Amino acid sequence: MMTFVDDDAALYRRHADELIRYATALVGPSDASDVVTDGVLAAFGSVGWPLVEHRRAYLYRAVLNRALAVRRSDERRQRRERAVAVPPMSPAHESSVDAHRALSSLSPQQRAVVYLTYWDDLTPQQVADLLSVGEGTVRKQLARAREQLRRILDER
Amino acid sequence: MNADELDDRIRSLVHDAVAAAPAAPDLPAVMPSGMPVIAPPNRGRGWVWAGIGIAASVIAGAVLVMTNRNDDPSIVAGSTSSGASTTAGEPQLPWPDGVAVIVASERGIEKVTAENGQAVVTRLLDGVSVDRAFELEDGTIIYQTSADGVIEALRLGQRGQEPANESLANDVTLEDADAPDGNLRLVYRSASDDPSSATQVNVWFQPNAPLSTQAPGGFGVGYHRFTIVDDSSVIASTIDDTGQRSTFGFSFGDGEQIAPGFEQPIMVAGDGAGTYLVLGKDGRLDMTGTRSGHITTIDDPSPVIDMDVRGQWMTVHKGDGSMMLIDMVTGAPYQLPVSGGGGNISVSRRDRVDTQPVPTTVPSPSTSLEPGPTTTTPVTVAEPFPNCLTVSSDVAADVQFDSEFYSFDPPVPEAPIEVAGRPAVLTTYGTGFGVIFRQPDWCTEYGITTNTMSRADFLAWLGTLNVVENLPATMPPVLLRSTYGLSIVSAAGTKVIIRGAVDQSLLLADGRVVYHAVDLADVQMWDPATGRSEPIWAAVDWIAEPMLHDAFGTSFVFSVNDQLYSYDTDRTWRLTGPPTQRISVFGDGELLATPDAPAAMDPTGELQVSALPGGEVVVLRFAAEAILYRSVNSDSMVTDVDIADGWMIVSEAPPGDSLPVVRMVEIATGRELIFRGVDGAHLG
Repeated sequence: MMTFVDDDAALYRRHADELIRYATALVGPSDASDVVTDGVLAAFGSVGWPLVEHRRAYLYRAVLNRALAVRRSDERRQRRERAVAVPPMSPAHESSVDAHRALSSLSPQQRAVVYLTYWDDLTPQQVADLLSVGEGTVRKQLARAREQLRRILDER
Repeated sequence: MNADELDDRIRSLVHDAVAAAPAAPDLPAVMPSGMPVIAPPNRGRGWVWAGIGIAASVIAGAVLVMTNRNDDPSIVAGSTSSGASTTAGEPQLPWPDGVAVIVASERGIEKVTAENGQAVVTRLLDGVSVDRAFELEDGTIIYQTSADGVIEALRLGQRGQEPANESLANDVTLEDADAPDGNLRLVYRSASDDPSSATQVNVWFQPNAPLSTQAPGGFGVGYHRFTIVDDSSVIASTIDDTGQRSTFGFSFGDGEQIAPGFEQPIMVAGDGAGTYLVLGKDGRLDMTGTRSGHITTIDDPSPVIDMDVRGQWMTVHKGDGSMMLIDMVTGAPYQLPVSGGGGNISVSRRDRVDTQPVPTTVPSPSTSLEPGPTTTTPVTVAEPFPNCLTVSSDVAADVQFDSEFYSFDPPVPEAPIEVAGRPAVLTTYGTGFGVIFRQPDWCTEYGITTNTMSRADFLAWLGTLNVVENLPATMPPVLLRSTYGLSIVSAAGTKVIIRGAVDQSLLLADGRVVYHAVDLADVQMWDPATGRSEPIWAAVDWIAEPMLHDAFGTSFVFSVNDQLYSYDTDRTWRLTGPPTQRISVFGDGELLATPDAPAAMDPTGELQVSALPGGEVVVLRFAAEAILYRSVNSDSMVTDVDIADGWMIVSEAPPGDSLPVVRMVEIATGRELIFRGVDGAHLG
């Protein structure tokens, strides 16, 4: 068993709000807490964590990785649930549900790029640094995401 | 909806989505101990073989943790599952794209590939215990069953379809092949070099013991060769030879002396391109053949029961069932999300041939890559310049700017042009500031604050847009020189230093550029901090010496009238040595560069690129006495070379009226970017 070190706890407190927003954009509000918890715990518990230089970026990648896993799990679950009739839940917040529906049409990577671009106002280079991908990749993901969202918004 | 409106809508969308964010969760005070994870590879100059140390520690040490999640019975033939879930939530190295690992085990055959950076396991053959398997270029899996040693081929259809399992018409057992001990290891496969033959591929098997026999000047490797005939349905039991050396295509001897490291090999693996791994009894792991060098030393090689190599990738399988894919360029190890179960692993390319590094050719400015449109649609762009311009499908847009919106003094930040993920083709470069692109539904970003038109201008010079779009992110900045000007190109963008003919230039490690323009009297130095050039030297007959300029850090060396000078950071210059011409370089007693042939070393001093007579270019690593790259182009004369950050530059002058060519080569992979019409280039 391993306990938190003070630095990790402080680091988490410092970035908790932005990570939960990020996770919400990635997987929606219902799974966001679990994604953040699992991702951050996995990061803190990894043997390589003490060697990580850019810890904020590492946490963002941990949350994204966890979101990818949740997405795969959701797909399997949704396939199972299609066999039975489950009445849709009434949305508590229609606009946010619409927003999540629109964002859910994107891949998790595209969602991450969109969130960091439009919420955090990061440049493609800054997004690339945070996600440890190339700037060209970010630009392409963003361009594809914008086209996809344009189609969705035009249909409304 | 224009671009600005779209941005506003998306921003509102994200705001709505994030507005529903719950409160940040409290983390538990106590957390379970973490699973070991792979340390991020050293991506800096990690391509050198020293990076293999990371992998070596994993091979030799006990940190390797293999999980066995793939025992999930839901995985069936042709289905896929994500193996990355073994450590879900943890940042891991993205599984490398373009490389596949074939796993033979008591479960059958599985293939591990990448999907969105995640390792995906596809079960190709189920319910048959398989000892060994590897994949041919066409996707055929050759494998050997555990029960009776029968060699069979698995013909694969498209992914997702049920694979057809065709046993060969004439199954060949090891007994049929008269193997010495009935226990062969697949080590090598190659396409036939005989076009008249019906043979498609040669498949080589190596007996485990005795592996080798000592012979004067080297050792022999016992092997058997089998052949797949043209219908891919028969492996003929052709035994070419056993216990012979040299006919296998490689020799480890050096005259009468056996080369160090190859005295007592306990395992050999080779790929179809002529790269071989040799694991010695003392644990020394070397590479020879088309690439050579000492890779690492494995503390205890005895548990290594199998290994394979394909290009820069190797696999290692140890007796404890652990399996590893290793990038020999970066040293990054990748855990396989499956276990061996008594079988083996082999490495291959994923599905498509075009995932392999291929030379990228930039056409000359007059070359059109696609059939031209019949009409050109004029598009006038006025201030304020939009961030994005969309052109309807399959038309040519003659983009004209109604005012000059950029300047070089002072420079403004640049941003690369994006073309919606697809290549765009620049067909002509018009007068003024007009450029003509042709690309269905392309969308490009430009604007007054990004100075992008200078990039487009430069792209016009290169003659294409798509190659620059596809520049790998790992490429270092390169200084390109032509009669049109001088520019620094990188994956992030392009910076035009000067327009007009330049005859001498150097890119220094700190980003400064030293050059001489034909129509200027003085040698100039361009400083990226100010974006300005200023004269530093009045002599116009100086010669850039890339061989040495990297060795002096931020200084640089040049020669005038055969006298060698250095220019230092305090803006002074001094005579540094006796009269010289191009420098002769010797490495380990071998002449590597002559006064007539250029050479250069990288800033670390570890690597040197030399152009030898006959059009041969060699990259040598001093410490390992290893030649990392060798190419021969006898049709062109090499006029200059440079090397840095794992890439090298070869400037060539073709015969006749052909345009000069600069080849930029990623040494580890052989991937090439070719710039035509460029007189010379330098790395920092």
